Order: sequence, then C-alpha cells, then structure tokens
Amino acid sequence: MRTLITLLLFLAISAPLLAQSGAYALTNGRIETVTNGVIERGTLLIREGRIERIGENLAIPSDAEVIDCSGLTIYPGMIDAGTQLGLVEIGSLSETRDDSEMGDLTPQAQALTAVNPNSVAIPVTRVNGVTTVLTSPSGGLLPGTGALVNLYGYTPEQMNVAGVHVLRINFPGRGRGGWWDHRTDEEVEEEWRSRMDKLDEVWDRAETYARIDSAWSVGGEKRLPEYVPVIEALLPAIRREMLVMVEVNQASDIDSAIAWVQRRNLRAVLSGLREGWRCADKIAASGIPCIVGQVLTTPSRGSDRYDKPYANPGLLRKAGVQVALRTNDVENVRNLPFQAGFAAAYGMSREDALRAVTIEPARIFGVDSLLGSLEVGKQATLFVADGDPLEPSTSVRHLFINGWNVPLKSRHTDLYDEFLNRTP
Amino acid sequence: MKRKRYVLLTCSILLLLLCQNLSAQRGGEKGREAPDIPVVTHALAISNVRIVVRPGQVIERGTVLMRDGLIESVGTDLIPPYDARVIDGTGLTVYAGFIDGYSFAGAPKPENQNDSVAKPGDPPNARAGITPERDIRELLNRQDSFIDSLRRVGFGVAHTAPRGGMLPGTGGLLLLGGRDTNRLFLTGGTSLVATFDGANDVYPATPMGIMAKFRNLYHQAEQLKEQDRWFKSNPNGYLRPDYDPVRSSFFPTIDGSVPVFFRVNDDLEARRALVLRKELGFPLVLVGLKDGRDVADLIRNEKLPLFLSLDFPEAVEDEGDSATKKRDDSESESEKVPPNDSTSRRVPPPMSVDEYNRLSQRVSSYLDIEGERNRLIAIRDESHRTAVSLPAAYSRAGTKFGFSTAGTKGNALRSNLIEAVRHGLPEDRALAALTTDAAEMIGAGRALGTVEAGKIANLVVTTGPYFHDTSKVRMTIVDGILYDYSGEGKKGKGKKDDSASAGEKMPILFATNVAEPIVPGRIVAMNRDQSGNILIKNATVLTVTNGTLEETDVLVERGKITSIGKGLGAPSGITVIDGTGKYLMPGIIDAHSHIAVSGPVNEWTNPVTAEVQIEDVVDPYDITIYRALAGGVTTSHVMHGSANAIGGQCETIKHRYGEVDPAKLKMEGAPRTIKFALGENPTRVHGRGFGVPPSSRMGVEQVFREAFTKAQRYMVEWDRYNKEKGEKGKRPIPPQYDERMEALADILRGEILIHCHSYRADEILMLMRVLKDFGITRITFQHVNEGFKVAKELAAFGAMASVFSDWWAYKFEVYYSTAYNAAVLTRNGVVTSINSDSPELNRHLYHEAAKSMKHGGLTEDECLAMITINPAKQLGVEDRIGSIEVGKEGDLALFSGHPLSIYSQPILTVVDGVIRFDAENDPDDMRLKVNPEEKIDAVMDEEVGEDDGCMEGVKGR
Repeated sequence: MRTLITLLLFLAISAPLLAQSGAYALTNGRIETVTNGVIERGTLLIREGRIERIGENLAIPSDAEVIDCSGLTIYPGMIDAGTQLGLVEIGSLSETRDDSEMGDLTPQAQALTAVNPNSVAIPVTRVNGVTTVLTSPSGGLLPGTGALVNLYGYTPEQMNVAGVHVLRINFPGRGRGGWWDHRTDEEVEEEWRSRMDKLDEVWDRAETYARIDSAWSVGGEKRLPEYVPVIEALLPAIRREMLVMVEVNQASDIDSAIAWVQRRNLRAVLSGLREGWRCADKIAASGIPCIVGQVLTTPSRGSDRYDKPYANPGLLRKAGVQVALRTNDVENVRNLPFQAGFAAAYGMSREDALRAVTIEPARIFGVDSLLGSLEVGKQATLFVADGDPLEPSTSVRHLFINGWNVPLKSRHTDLYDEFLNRTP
Repeated sequence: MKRKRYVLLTCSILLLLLCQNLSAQRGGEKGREAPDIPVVTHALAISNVRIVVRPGQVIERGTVLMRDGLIESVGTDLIPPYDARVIDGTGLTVYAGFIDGYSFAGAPKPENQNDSVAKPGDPPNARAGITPERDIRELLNRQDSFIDSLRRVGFGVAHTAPRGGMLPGTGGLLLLGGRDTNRLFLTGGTSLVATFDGANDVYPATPMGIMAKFRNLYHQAEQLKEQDRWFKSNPNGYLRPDYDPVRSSFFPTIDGSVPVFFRVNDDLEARRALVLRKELGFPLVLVGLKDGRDVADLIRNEKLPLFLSLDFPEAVEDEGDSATKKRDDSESESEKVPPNDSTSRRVPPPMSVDEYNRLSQRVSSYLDIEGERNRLIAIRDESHRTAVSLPAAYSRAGTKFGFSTAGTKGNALRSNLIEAVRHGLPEDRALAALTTDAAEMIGAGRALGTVEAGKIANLVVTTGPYFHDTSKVRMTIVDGILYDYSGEGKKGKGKKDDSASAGEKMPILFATNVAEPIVPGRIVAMNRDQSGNILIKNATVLTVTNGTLEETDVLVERGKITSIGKGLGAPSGITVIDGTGKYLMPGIIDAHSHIAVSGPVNEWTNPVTAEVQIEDVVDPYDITIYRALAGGVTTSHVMHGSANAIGGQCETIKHRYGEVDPAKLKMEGAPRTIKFALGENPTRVHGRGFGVPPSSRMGVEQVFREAFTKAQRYMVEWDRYNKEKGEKGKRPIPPQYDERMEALADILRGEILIHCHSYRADEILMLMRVLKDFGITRITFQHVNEGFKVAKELAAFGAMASVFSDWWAYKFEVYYSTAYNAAVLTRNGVVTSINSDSPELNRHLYHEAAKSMKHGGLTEDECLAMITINPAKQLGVEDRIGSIEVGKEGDLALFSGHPLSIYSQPILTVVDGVIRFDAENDPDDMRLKVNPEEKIDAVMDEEVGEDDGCMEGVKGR
C-alpha cells in the first residue's frame, strides 16, 4: 500500500504539465488569419475549444486567462498533409512499425486504429506549430485509409478531426527504385502494365459490388452481396463519400493517374508529385488538388536543375494547381514549416507557402470549416510565435490544439533541460 | 599426399583435353574443310591476290606461299611450287590475321562463388577471386563458339585469359585454329590478369578493397621473393619460405617479364590501375577500356600498351513516345533525301557548341519539356558518338592501341570495327590496331602481324577493303590451315549489317575538331575563369572568425584570399562580382559525406579494414558534387561507411567540379583521416550478419583493443628487424608486410585523425578510454546523438563532435536524442559541427545549422561556425579554410540574403578563387558524363530522405 502511494505520488510529481482548457484571451498579438489578412495588433478569444472572437479592440471576458502576445504573432496550426506519424516509432525496428499491413490489397486497414497517441514524436512535432497531420499507411497497391489527426489527445478518436479518413492508392509507377534497379525498359513497362491491370480489375469488381450493394439496400428481392472486406472498403470511395489520395510521382504516371481518376469518377487528391512541375498544366486542367512533398529532396533526374524539388510547389501553383505540402516523414514532421519555407525561397509566394500548410490541406480534406485559418467559429488550433514560423530562428511560445493550451514540452526539450548543465 | 592429388588432377585434365580434341576433330571446326578428306600437302598458296603486307604497304597483285604453318614467301613474281595447293585470289585482298589483345575466347565461365565462409574477412583465396596461379592453358574450352566468331571475322590469335574476380589467372596466346589442336597456345603465362571485380560478400568485395589487397599481395610477394633468394643463396639457419602459389605468381611480374593485364572499363578504373603501377612499379597493359576519353592524354604520356574494348554501347533508338515521334515527323519532311544518305540517324552528326547552347536553355516549367527532351536525346546521342569514336580519338592523340573483344558479342565484332572507322578511325590505324600494333604490344611482333616471310601463316582474305561493310570475309587462315567462309552468305555478318549497308557511301562524319565530348557540365567548366582570381565587391561579409563586415570587398588571387576591405581596386582582367545586398560566407564544409564515391562506400566484409582508402575510389563525375556546390558547400569529408568497427581511410575533397581527374579533387596536404564505427551497425553487419564478433558493444571495444595491440607488436617486430638488419652476422627475417597493420600503426603514431560513427553515451566513453590507453588524442565523434549526455567528458578529452541538426528515431540507438544536442555540446565547450551524411542534407547545411537558433538559442555566429571553422578544425585544416581571412584559401559562398534565413538562396560558390556554381549563368543540366545508353525517362522513384547513408552498399544486411 505504501509503495502504491509512493508510486502515485511519484507519478503526480513527474507527470508532464497537463494541457488546460477553458477561456483564453490572446491579447496584443499580430494575427495572421491566412484567409482574412493580417491584424497588426489584436485579440483572439478562445472558448470551449473554438475561436470565439477576433478583433482589434475586443473586451476581455472576465473569466478568460489572458496571454499577452505583444511582439508575437498568432497563426493557425500547421497541417502536414502526408506523414506516418503515430504509426512508426523507430524506423529500423519492424516491431515498432504499424504503417503497412500484409499484402498488396488492404484498403480495409485503417491508420487511425494504429495511431499511438503517446508516440514520443508527437510532442516533438507539435511544439513547432504543426498541430494536425494526415497519417497514412504506405505499402502495397491499396495500403488502407489514412486519418486526419490533431496532435493532442489520449485516444485516436479524440485526435481524429471530423472523422476524416482518406483512401490511399499507390498508383503503379514506371520509375525506378534507385541505382540498384536494373530492370530493362520492357520489364518496367510490363510490370507497370500488370499493376495497372490489377488496379483496374479490383476497381471493376468493386464497382459491380457497389451496384449489387446499392440494389440490395434499396430493398426488394435483391440479394445481399457476399462480404468481401477488401472490396467493401472501397465503397465509400466509389460513392464519392471518401476522398481518394493517389500517390504518384513520375510525369508519365501522373498523366495516367489523372486519366484514371477521371474515368473512375472519384473525389481525388494527388500526392507525392516529384515531377508534378513537368505536367503542371495537365494537373491544373484536371482541377485535382495536389499534396506535394518532400520539398527538401534531390532532383529525380541527373539532368534536372539542382533546385527543381524546391521549385516544384511554386511551379505547380503558378500553373493554377491547388497545392498542399507534406513532409512524408515521421520523426521530423516538425520540419514542415521549413518545407514551406524552401518552396517560398524558390518561387512560391510566402502567402501561398503558408496556405499550403494551413488552409489548403484543410480544404482538400474538407475540414476548412474547422481548421486552416483563424476565423470565428473554427477550432482553436493555433500557435503563437515570436516571428515568421517558416524561419528556423523563430520559436513557438504558445500552442492551442482544439482549445487545449498544450505545454511546449517534448523529449527533446526534456533532455535539453536535464543535460545542458548536467550534475554531477 | 598432396603431390599425389596434384598428379591425379593433371591426368584428369589431360584426359579431358584429349576427349575434347577427339570430339573437335570428329565434329569438325566451323569453317574448316571436311576433315574426312585426307590432306596431301602442307603448302598453300594464294595467287593473284591484293596483299596488304602491313598498314600502308600494299602489293597490288602477288602471291603468298605458306608451308607448315609459316609464311614461306610473299611476292609479285612468285610462282607457286609444284607441291602447293593453289587458291586463285583474283579480286580478293589478303591481310595479316588479326590479333585480339584480351579475349575470353575459350575461357570457361567462372563458377559462381557464393558459398558462405567462416571468416568473410579472410576467405580462401579461390572464394575471393584470387587465383593468379591458374593458367589459361589448363582451362581452355576448345568448344567455345566464340573462337569461331573471332576467326570468321579475321582473327587468328587471341590473347585469352581466365575469367573470374580480382586475379583470375595468367593468360596465353591462343591460335584460333590450326594443325594441331593440342598445340594451340603459342605461349602461356604471358600476362597476369587483374580486374576490379569484387568478391561476392567476402573480402575484397569492393574496388577499394581490391586496391588495398593488391598492394598487400604485391608487397608480400616482393618480400617472399627476396626471402626465396636469401634462402636459396644459403639455407643454413634461415627459415624456409612457405610455398605460396598466389604470391609466387607475382614473381615474373616483379621481375618485369610478365605484365599485369588490368581490365579497366572506364577512366576511373584506368586511373586506379595507373596508381597501382606508379606505387608498385610493375609493367602494365590496360585492357577492355570502353569509357576512356578522359585518360587519353595520361595513357599517351605514360606510353602504356592499351587494348580498347570492342564492346560498344548500343545506340538507343526511338523511345516510342510522343515527343520522339514529333521529332521523327519533323525529319520526315526531308525524306526526299535517300535513306542511305549521311543524315541517317544511326550516326548522329556531332553537335556543335552553338547547337548545344541553343538547346541548353532553362527548363523553366512544363512549357519547356519538349525542348528538354530533344536536348537530352541529342546529348545522349552525342555521348554515344563519343563512345564509339573512342578509338578514333586515341588514334588522333597518337596513341598506339589494339582491340579487346572481351565482353563483345560475336555478331558485333566486325560491325563495331566498321563503326569505329565510320566514326573517324583511319582504316590504316584500325588495321594496325588489329595487326602490327597488337602484335608488338603482346610481344609477338616477330611472329605475327604482317604478311611477310617467316611469320606464322595467319591471314584473312576478303572480297574488298575490310572496313567497308559491302566486303565479305571469304576465308581465314590460321597456322596455315584454311577456314572457308565463302559459302555462308549473310551468316557471320554483324547484325547491324543490313542497316549499315550504306556505309561505303557515308562520309566520315567526325571531321570537326571537337576535342572534348560535348557534355553540358564540361562546356561550362571549360569556359570558367580558371585563374583563381576573383573580386567580390560590396557584400555583407560573414567572416565567422572576425564578425560581420558590412559593404566589404574580398579579393582572391591565385586561389588565396589576399585582401579584405572597403573599396578595393580591381586588378586588371579580374572577374568582378557585385555583392551589393548579398551575403558572403566562407565555403561550407561538410564533415561527414559519402558523395563523389564510385562503388560501395563500405568494404563491409571485415570488422577491421583500416587499409582501404576512399582516395582510391573518388568519383569526380558525381553530379552530387555540383548539387552540394549549389548549397554553398566547397569541401566534403568523404567517408568510408560505418559497417566496420575500424573502417577505411577517408578523403577530404574540394568541390572542384569540372575536373575529371580524381586526384585534382583531393585537398592536398589535408591530414589523413579514418572512419571508426560503434554500436548497431558493426554489430549488425558482423555479429548478426556474418556470425563473427562483434555482436555487442562489449565486443566492439575488444575489436579496437585487439587491433591496436596487434599493431603495436607489428611495430615492435619491424623495429627489431630494422635494427638487426644492420648488425653483422645476423640474417633477420622481416615480419610479413601488412597494409592493415601499417595503417593502424599510423593511427597509433597520431598520423591519422579518427572520425568515429557513434550514438550512445556509453560507447563514446568506451572509445575515449581505449584511445587513452593507447595514447591517441585526436578524435571527432560523428553523429554522436547522445553526445549531450557526456558533453563534459568529451570536452575534457578534447574530443570534437559532428552532429545532425535534428535526425533521430530512425533506429533504436538514436531514440533518446534531442535536436538540442549541438547547443548542449557547444555550451559545454565541445567543438561541434553540423554534417549531412546525405546528398540531400548537404544541399542545405546552412539551413541545418540555422535550426540551432531554434533548438538551444545558439547565436548566428555559433551556427555559422558549425558549418565552417568547426568542421575545418575537425579535419585539421582550420589554418587553410573555414573563415574569411587574408591568407586563407578562396573558398566562398555568396547568398542572396543572410544564409541562416529560410528565404535566402546560394547564388555563387567559389573554390580556390574559381567559380564552380553560378545560379544565374549555369545551365540546368550540369552532368560531366552521360550514359550513352541512357533512357530519357528513367526516373528514380525513391526520395532521398532520412536514412543512414553510412550503410550504403552493404549487401543484404
């Protein structure tokens, strides 16, 4: 009993500072709303998890905790539109990886199931102002559904934003894996063709299944379809109830993917797009939005200009494509603002770069009524920084996720605090 | 017992050979006349024939008389004797039979060596591809169809050699037919063959491993030879040297009587062979060179015997997509021109520099894609033309060479010879390469190569000039035996013959004076101001060591910074760069890189490989050098990988991109460095992979202690030997020379700086204890993710740290990491740098360093120091680079804004006063070498992201 009390006491003392919810007044701050311009000096009120008011001369409610933001700027939380955060803990240890289910066709696998709310990488990410991520499975042709999650919560359900799930398709590619890939052109083409046939076959069957299923649900004499989980999982996508995220990178594959998505009449977003700039006109004409990244990567061809990956988002934007950015990372999702910063340094406007990690992903995932900008009624998912968040010299000073005032602590800050002046 | 087995083996080989001969005679060789008709004479004459006696010397109408396998006489007024079989050669031409300088004819395919061995670091010689004692004469496969492939295009003799790995065996001169199939070899043991083909998952598995192993074997062979001599002179009281078939195979080479035939595919391999020759002093013949334009001068100056490969790259045809089709359409407008005309696409005309410039516009957006495609095809085709015109280029350079058919398909032999001529190789030179020059280079000039009395009766008889593809080979005579191919019609012709039938009408296209291959990056490099003089005016100068200087000029002369100040006068003719509004910082230094390496960065087969050197495998063509320059990086510490506890020696290079001699990238005089590695990588590769220690961090410690202790004893042994050597009456035997021990001894002497891959605090402390015990003081820990935990201990030891800005969690040993590592180390007094270990991160080290402002609040100067002066200290070159100071080397990076701001771009990078990156003026495509078989749309799918670059090249682990 005594040990139990000691243990409880110990836990109470060493437990991390818990996040607080309630009414907050962020005063005297510069407010970058993203969608409605900048308020140079204003106040933002938070209540019950929402942004209650934004304005220049607001009265401070008596119950609100005041946070003086003089000299600081308030931004909406940044959204990384493609990660494996929460699914992978330590890259090289397969026991800690839950980002890939066995087999090529596992669309029924749901990332949200395996998101570990206590992943050490989550606090490391959010203290940089990245508050929301799409985390998705990776391997195979149809690896499963990704989930949009806020980076604060104790259960996956608490973290999941508006129940958003996205079906991922790894579109068959004609690119090579790397220098070790010695396949001939013919082999590459043949393999691509057989992957395409497989995808088409699955989709044809799923469309048939959807017809049977629809007929049955209308009632009458119709037969119940045989339960096939792989196919069942595709129904929301076929019925345009779920967004389809099509991972594709090489220029010729992007062409094929656009045609495929149009033929199948899907609500789609393209992701990856290393060579998106090569066919930016076609993407723009299709009206399909894009999740681009990594920006910080090497050119896909030896003949490409060194800065093509940096310039890629800007070139897509210039052609009229709707662009969101991603890190495609796990432990360093925190560097999302720098991916945006490089896009801005190489041709994208800073405004567009900021939008690409805030409102654009929110629009793509259909959560722009909740996230992506500072507007009354939206989730209070935001951060306060001492400068431009795309600059590495900037620090985040306050962080709110869904109205929770989240302490700016992580393993990285803990180790710093412990070891900076180590004793003994 | 051993001897018995040897005899048995010899008997069975003889039996085997006998059986082969019988079957050969029964079945008959291809082209040979029916063997069941009895031979009545050994005299053969070809009369009324055009005789090309030697290149440039022709008897328009004469007779060649052969008897008993030799040419008896040649002349215009020669009347064939009564006993000669006479062939009327009217309308035919006869040449001396060709000589293949390095061939696989009759060489059996090597066995796959992939069985696992107890000690991958010390495998049986045969498993490692080290079989120099093998003699092609004992291996010959007379049934090999390639013998006939060679003969039917006119070859009479091949210098054929065993196939295999690093040292496959000794070659011999093989008659490709003849009177007595038991006596097909003119000579044997004529060459010691060497290649850079690594062994499969055992030592030496890599080119750098082979370099080290070659040196080691050679020095040990020299020792053994010396010992042999001493023993023979007086065995009394002298230790008997062991019989060693491998090392003793080097004896004739050490004597200078048998050359090393080094198989080299490209420039870099050729240079490696030359490095070994220069160090060890053996006679060298380069064979099989394909991609060798950049060593032409070197080979000419060294007067090296050379056999160029006849295995040309294939011309890439139509790739069948829309852009190419358009290109074809546009050409079809000119289709009135007969297809046989010289505009045939098979031999693209050389691209002029103007044409190149026209095509080299920026690919700014999707709008430029089609133009880009045409340019890439043109450049690729140009690269193909360069490859096929290699013999022509060597000929123009005045270098003598022959041809090697190793690796060439039989049906491509003659068509490729014709291609070489079509691309500018004069017919006379082509003939010399096949006859006189080849004969001379294989030391058979008196027996082969011309149609003269006394020579071996090897001839090729054609219907016209050999290098015209309308001509046919009518017959080949080998050793006086006739092989008749006249009845075979189209068989035996190269597969390209149909399409090449226009050949004779085609002019020789390579008439321009393009000395260099037209590759984008080279044009730029050639046009750069190489003087090393540059003045950058009016920039904000971040000196790193002396603060920030506003509106200041920096003058670099002959590669050195000579002046820093306001309003400096410009010496006449100097390149002036306006730095107004821009920021100038010292060239960035990456203390941990694996760029610019050809082949694997790990010789992963042994826990200790101190003898291998990155220096041997530096690749100046690597585009990642340019990309690093585009990130302001001017110096990289190119490291061996982290598979082994004691890895190989590293190389500090300067990014002199555009130079094609790897030696010119080396930072001359920079201290030697070596890679060590702790923790998961060496225990995974060796303990869990190969099943040899170390498999734990405890084991890793013992690897160091054992290696250093052995090296200490090695030094003691040599000291004693050197002392006794001079003493009267003593006949000391030297300890066996060992490249690995030599390197370890140099570490103990403090001549090599240690850079150790490490993560965990405990292992960092361990290595410092070990080093202390062995009196070693200078070390930089690399990665050192848990360095922050032992920052005090590191500072106390004087160890330095080179870290990632924020990489963590990619493996267990970096799970307890913090991006504040650099800050904690810096605040505790440890000299700390930020490195890349990645061809992606090294493009933005300025940004990586900037993150330490966020993570731990380092100042701007502290951040900049971590990518300039601090890594300079870690590489021992801080007195030369790493800051902007008068007297230092002119390595500078100009940025559009402050380099630590995310919005700034590197715009100009200068190495030794030479601009090596110029964002405004450089074309997009800066490659120095283009694969002649490149597929335009081949794209790498994988992102280069966070990964342990250190493990690149390690197979299956």
